[in-house]
Amino acid sequence: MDKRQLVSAHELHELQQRIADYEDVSAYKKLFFYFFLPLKSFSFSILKSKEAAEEAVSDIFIEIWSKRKQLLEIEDLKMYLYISVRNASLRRLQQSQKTTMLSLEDLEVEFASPDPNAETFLMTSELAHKIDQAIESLPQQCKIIFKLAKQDNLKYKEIAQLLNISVKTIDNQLSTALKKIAAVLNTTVKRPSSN
Amino acid sequence: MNRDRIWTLMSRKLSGEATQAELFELDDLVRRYPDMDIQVQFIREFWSIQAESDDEYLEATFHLHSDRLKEKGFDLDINKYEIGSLNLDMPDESQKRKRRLLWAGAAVMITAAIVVFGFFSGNKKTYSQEKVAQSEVSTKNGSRTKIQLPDGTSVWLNSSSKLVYDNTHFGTGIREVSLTGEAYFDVVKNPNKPFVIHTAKMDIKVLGTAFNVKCYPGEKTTETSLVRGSVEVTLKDRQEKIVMKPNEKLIINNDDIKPVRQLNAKTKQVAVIEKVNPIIELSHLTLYPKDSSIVETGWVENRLIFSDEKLDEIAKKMERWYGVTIKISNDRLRKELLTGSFEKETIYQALNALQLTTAFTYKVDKDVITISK
Repeated sequence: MDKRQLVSAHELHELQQRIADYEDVSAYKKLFFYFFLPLKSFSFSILKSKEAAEEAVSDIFIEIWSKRKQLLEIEDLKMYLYISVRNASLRRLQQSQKTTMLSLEDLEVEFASPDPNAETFLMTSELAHKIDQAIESLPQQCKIIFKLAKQDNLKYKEIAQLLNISVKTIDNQLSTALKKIAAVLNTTVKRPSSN
Repeated sequence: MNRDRIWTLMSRKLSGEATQAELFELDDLVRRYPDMDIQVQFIREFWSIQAESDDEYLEATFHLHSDRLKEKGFDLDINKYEIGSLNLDMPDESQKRKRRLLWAGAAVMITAAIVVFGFFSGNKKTYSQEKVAQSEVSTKNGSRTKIQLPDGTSVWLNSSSKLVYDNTHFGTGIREVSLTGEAYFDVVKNPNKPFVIHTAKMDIKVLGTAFNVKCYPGEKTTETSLVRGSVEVTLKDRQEKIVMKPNEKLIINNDDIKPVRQLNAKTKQVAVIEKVNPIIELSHLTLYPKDSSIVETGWVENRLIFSDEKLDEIAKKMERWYGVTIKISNDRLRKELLTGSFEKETIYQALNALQLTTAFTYKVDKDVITISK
């Protein structure tokens, strides 16, 4: 199975162009493959329902196809997708729960476990499990920042814009996350020396 | 707290937000707190592991999505585009005219879309800012770094090395970088955009592969070591191309322009010709006997490895590795062949270990180490 691929800005622009100029379905499908999982996962953290998240992202992709001729007008398609998914998810939440305010601590962030078969000399399945627990115990705000930076490969500025927080907060939260994850190494390596 | 500072700098480094000064600061800090090294390495590895993509799930979801599109009146005819030759070249004139009309008709909608987008995205300027054209990453003696290029390609840069690329246009046509020193490349596969590394003596063209290039100025040879994939090397002095296979190493002699006396068989005259052809040797990667790791790329894993190498060559590697100057005062000692591997050892521990196999003494005067019989 292929590792999740990250799309370069240039390739993204090329896809955008192929969809806009040639109605190229294979380019549209590629765009879907690149972004569906990360967007669904982001939407899930707001909606806390897999089906609702899938539908919200599918809706955004329907919008992309229906407006394909104007697609080149979008300067930053990646952020456009993320922000559209955020807004659509918040709107859905508002309809179902009549809440307009959502704190970052109210999110429910899923984090895909590190692949225990990953070929690295440090990773063992025991460590992978410990990392899972460490990530699980992070506050939701810290976790979503960490996830967007590591898994979705978003820049600080992009995360700041998406979550409506400052770059400084991201700087702090991300370093807290790394520190806590790195600490699992101490608990694993240093075994109790009693008896 | 300095240790916390390490994590701030690591976060910036891994997210591609760190400045060159911050990367240096991080290197310095990790050296000052050696106990943090293992954690830093661990986090770096953990960061590089990406979640797996579930293609079956995506395939099924896209199918469902196509059905939803159909309900809204958009029929995606996938087969039309995926089978046979795609007729995607230039749209003909009538199509162009049609498109122009569509554009005019859509103008109002476009404006609406921009306004909405402007509202959602807040400060749009931050995304359209042009970046500085030339990006340069360099390392000093005794420091190494890893960077990620805009296409996702990873580059480990060894000590005293420099990598230059055009940030604005990187990857628009071909992906091009220039290197002096030593680097290990793990190139992201993209058959449409070849990756080219320029060095003083040769250009290396790749499609997607992992390999090491060593081209320090002042050294006798330029070396390319291929770990996996395939690369095509073009020697600049003669337009010759060599295609390398995995586990091969190509060594070319740097001091190429030497007048060489050669006997011309036909005229029986001795002619002095300019020998411009570099001496080329294609050999295999060297495996370290103890654990079969590849000697040429050991530095990427923070290991200084050498196998049956002359002491003066090892000294050069140690100079860059530890950021010191090493002088060898004895000619026979210079040619002594040694094998070894260092990871966490200090320069003194390393020298002491070498003394076990070869008899020599050394003197330290600040940053200069003199080795003698």
